[in-house]
Amino acid sequence: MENINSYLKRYKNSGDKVWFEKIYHHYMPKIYRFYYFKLMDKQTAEDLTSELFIRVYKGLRKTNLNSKTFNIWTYRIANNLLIDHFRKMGKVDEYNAASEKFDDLTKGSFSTNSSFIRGELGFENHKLVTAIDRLSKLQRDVILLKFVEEMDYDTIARVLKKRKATVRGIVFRAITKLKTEIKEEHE
Amino acid sequence: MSKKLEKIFNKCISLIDKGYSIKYCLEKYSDCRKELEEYFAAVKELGKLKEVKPDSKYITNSLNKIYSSTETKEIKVPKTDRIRVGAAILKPALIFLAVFVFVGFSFAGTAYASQDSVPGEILYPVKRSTEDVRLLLYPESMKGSLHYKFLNNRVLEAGILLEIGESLDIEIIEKLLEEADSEFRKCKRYGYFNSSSEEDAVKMMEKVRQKYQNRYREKHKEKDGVEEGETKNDSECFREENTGQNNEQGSMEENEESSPGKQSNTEGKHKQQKGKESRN
Repeated sequence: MENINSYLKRYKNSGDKVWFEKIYHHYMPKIYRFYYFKLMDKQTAEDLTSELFIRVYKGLRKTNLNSKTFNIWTYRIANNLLIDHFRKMGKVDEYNAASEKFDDLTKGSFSTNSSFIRGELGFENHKLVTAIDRLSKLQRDVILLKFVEEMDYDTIARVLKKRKATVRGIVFRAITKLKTEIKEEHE
Repeated sequence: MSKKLEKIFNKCISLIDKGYSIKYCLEKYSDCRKELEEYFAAVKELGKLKEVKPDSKYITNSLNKIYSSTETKEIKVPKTDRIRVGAAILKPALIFLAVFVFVGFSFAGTAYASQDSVPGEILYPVKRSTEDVRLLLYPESMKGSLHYKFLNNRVLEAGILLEIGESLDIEIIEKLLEEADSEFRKCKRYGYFNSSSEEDAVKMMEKVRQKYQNRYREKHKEKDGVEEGETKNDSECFREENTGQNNEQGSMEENEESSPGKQSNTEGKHKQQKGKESRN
């Protein structure tokens, strides 16, 4: 994280692309995964990731961010781009800013792309993905941000605009559910 | 138990965030070791999803795409072009503004200059149009004063024509006086007058009518060279008619309560007819 702070500072001061590329290589796989698990569509995930980094590249030097605030800023842009994507897809009528509706749009995308997942992730991970698919949208987001993207509770709370205690509770409940699902799958 | 486990699990997660290992946590909370092991197994499973990574080819291409997208936009609108684009918009806008200001000022100037014009002059129609426009724009409450102003204008115009006009144009003056009558009625309708101002207006109108009659008489004399006796008869006739008219006036007053000069106006008309007859 110390490194990221220094890259951000150096890029802001010099505008040298070298520092931007360091930041890009660190965050790009994370953002890609964020889209990938939301959409289960490799091509769209790639397009949206590129679009996000174009925005980041244009705006980064105007901001004054550290690694933590950069994380929050980037994931907020990522979320907005995802909403725009659903609107363009013609799901604008279905879409509602309320998370429940958003949940409806994203839920089921894991299982409906099961063959794709098997090919991409392997059979073992497919089981895991099926288990994740049974979680609610919020639970899924929280555990992916926590255990895949390795964010701390505070950052997750700020990205999702929730209280820290709420996030902790969601993590525990999601892991309990996931543990049971995985156990059942194995049996 | 569940609450306690949740608390311990969250403590473990916080420790792991700080850099402690899972093993350390399991040893620290050995009471719940079995349950915690199950939880961390699930967490470990989730860690496998980190294997999902974009292609290295895509990573490079995407980076090029980012740079090219910003560069192409810079090329599209270079600084020099921006100025030209600005000028291209500004230039016609400025020309339009200049024309608009010029036309606006010239119209305002013309309207202002027309205020002193009298019938027969080029600017007189402009004056009348301005009056119509003002009548349209003014609120109902101010229309009375506006009609009073127009009444003054008509009387003034008739007065000027009578003073200056070399050849007396009867039709124009008659029309002006009729219009003055109509303005007077409108003033009354809008309740503009009080007793003194109504009297002033009546006097003013009477005065100009008198002037018109005198002028008409002079003109008549000059043109036809009519003898004095005839003129006398004429004036007697006029007087007779005038008295006759007075008899009828009672019934007429009901219809035209607001036109005080109407009587002398009709007198003028009668005189006019007489003059014509004598000419024949």
